Amino acid sequence: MSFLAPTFLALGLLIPIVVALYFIKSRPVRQVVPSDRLWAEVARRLQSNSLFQRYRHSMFLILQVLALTLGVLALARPVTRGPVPRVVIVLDRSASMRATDVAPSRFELAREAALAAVHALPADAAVALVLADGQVGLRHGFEAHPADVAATLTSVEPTDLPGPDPEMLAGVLADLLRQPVRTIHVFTDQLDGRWLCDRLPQASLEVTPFGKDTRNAALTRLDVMPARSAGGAKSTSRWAVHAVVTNFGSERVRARVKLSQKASLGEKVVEVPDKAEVGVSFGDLTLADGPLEASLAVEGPDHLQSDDRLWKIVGTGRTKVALVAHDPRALEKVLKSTRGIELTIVPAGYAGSPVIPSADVVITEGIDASLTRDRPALRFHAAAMGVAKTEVSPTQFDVTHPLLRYLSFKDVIFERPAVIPRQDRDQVVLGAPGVPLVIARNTLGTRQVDCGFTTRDTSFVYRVGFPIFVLNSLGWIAGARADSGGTLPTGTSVSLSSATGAVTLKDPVGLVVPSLARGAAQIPGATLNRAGLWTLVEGTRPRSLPMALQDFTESGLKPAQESPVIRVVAGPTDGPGRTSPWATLVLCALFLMVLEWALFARFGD
Amino acid sequence: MLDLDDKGFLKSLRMLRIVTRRFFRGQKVGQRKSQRKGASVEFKDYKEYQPGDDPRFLDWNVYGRFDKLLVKLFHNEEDLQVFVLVDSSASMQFGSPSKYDHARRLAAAISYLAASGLDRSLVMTFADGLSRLSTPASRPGHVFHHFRFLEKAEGGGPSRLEKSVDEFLSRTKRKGAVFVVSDFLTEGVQEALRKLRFNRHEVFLIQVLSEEEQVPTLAGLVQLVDSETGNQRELYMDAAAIEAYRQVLEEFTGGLESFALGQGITYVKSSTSAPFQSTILQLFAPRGRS
Repeated sequence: MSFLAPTFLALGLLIPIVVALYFIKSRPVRQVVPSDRLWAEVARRLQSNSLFQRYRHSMFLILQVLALTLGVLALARPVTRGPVPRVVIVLDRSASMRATDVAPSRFELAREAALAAVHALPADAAVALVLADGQVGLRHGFEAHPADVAATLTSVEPTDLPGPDPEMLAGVLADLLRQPVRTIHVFTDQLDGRWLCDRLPQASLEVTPFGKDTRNAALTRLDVMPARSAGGAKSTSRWAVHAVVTNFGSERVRARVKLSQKASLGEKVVEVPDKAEVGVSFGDLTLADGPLEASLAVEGPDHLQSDDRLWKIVGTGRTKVALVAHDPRALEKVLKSTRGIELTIVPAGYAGSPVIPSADVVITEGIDASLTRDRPALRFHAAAMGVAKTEVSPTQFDVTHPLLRYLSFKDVIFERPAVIPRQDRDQVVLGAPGVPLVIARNTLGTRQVDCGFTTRDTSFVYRVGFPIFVLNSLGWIAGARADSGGTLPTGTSVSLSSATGAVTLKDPVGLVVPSLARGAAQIPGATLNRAGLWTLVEGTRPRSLPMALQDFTESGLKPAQESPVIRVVAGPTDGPGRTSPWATLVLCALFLMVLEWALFARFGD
Repeated sequence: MLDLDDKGFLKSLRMLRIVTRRFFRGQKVGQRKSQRKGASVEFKDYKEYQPGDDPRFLDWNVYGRFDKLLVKLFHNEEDLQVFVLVDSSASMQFGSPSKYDHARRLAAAISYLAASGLDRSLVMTFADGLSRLSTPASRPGHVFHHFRFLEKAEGGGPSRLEKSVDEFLSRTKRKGAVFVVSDFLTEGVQEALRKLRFNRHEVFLIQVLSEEEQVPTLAGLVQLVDSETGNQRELYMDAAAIEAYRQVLEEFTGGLESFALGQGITYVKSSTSAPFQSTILQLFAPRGRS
């Protein structure tokens, strides 16, 4: 137990003074009586009546000392270590966090604040880390060590995705709140944190906003679906587009939503109240295969323009899957029973097959990873020869990741985990202590899933969850084409996968960039200096390069108004893992004083 | 200094007289009826005339009506021996006025009443034993010797009633009324009273208690010191302790009273704050024969 205000403990010196005064006051008065005979009987009766009678003249002193002790302790604010505190850190890493309206940037300030919160926790605290952007993901569960969380916070970078969807974030946090959680620290640039407090009324939320502007509107959703006729039948050639504009700010905004696919498809103006969402529908459109772009323009200053564009790839083609394995039977059985897949099984000795470059997803098992270095791939890595059998069970789950959707790993054994080559942007979605088992990677829109096991080394393959895992993986890897992810900040250099083939780069307007040198290894950042959807064609395969503004200052806009940094705190806190019973002590001291007063009134002088 | 010659004190005693339940054989002629036949004016019985009887006591009216010679017999009137034992121990020195002063006034009053009734009286003080004895008084004029005796009698020392009674019984042979004036805060009270009753004395107990004893005003932590033995006892005086003391005192006086009632002993409790005349009136309330 420690004290928040130990200075008040000096008041404990009053205790001996009270004791001394009591004994001085209670020194017996000598009184000669005619006879002791009757008083002897009185004393015998009083002492034999009860223990209280025997010690009641000491009771006042005991009560006084107890009351004084409790009062001093209450003033000193003792804190005790309760059960292991569980704290959730939510770090907004959406594109808007790159804004530099506060130096050095919103994200850096948020990162420092999150690190400070983690460092303030005791070593045995349970910390969960949620990284929130357009995709809210649980990066570390409560089983993680605070040092690991701090390391992740140090290395994490903001993405190019829009801000976190409140419902999605609330869902992830509600899942974490199944266990008792002391505090949820949210570090975000959405200035008013009450939208989260409203959704999680039972949680102790501490929302620390960053940034100065309250105007914050963005496109948060873009759906493309077949149009329906008057009879309700789905059309095969006509499309309906539905966009959602979310106003995170505290001011009503007037927004203009534009829809384009090479040429403009239309635009609509909507009024979005503060902290509200408004849907904008474009119906009966004719769309071509390829990226569909929706952009948002807010009248007046808007400092989150990097969130103002969404892309959706339109198309209905089947997913081409190439399976390369020495013994493909287990995976073949799973894949052949899956609809929407055009499966090609490539023998392990034909690694140079032209099927592989043209496949949407390559699945390999026990094959050299260089075969699928820059391709969307699901790779099952085999342990090195001679590695001893080591049974591990998963202890780390990123249950919010699409790869682990609908899955349970209870009693699943991995007998011989393999070492997966790691990269900076890897995300461990499944892991055992010290051993990553499934890693998700998203590099420039190319998604890869690396598994540290093969179908022969795990009991997972016999579970019903295994085909679900394969389908989740295919959906996530192939889904990159339809996602808005992969947005790069302007000025970022892009590596080219093939340095020898012909490379064509088109800017967002559709003009070919002439200055791109033939055979270059990368596109320099200075070339990619405009926000929008760039198109890169290496060989015959086109590749989209969505570029967003690096920070709002590039737009030349200044903050509309300066607003102080506010701090929304919900729920009491005495610091991580500590509880202060001072209120209880004050009540006990008052109770003892009242008790003494009552006893004194009944038995006192 | 106790002054028993106060006119008010004597005036208040003139209308009182000692009353006993039973007859005692007197030594001299007095004003108190005796069981013996004598020459008083109060008729007692008839007896047949025998030669030698005084013919002056023949009842001629009876002879005229029944033709029988009957002689009238009359009560004899003798004096009463009154003993007053006054407790002079240290425990009697308490109170304001002190219990001892109050006891001496009571003793003087009893002595005065005895003298005014032509009874013989003897006043004694006792503590660890019989301390002093006054000269016997058999005439009203002698009572002032008792007053002087009581005024000069000093108190102190422990109280041993049984020993004092033993000494009293060994010194006196006559039976009579024994008034014991004490607080009875001593051992052997019942044994002493039984001895007095066994020796055919009529016993009167006057328990003198001071106001401070009946309603103690002690508070807080008190070291109680016994005035006779010097015993010390620490006690926290609060409402509960005072209440317990009141109960103990009530049981003590009640026990003494019930014991006295069982032994045919007259018991009176006298408070120093109350006038002594009320005690005397209570003591001689009309209930006896003479």
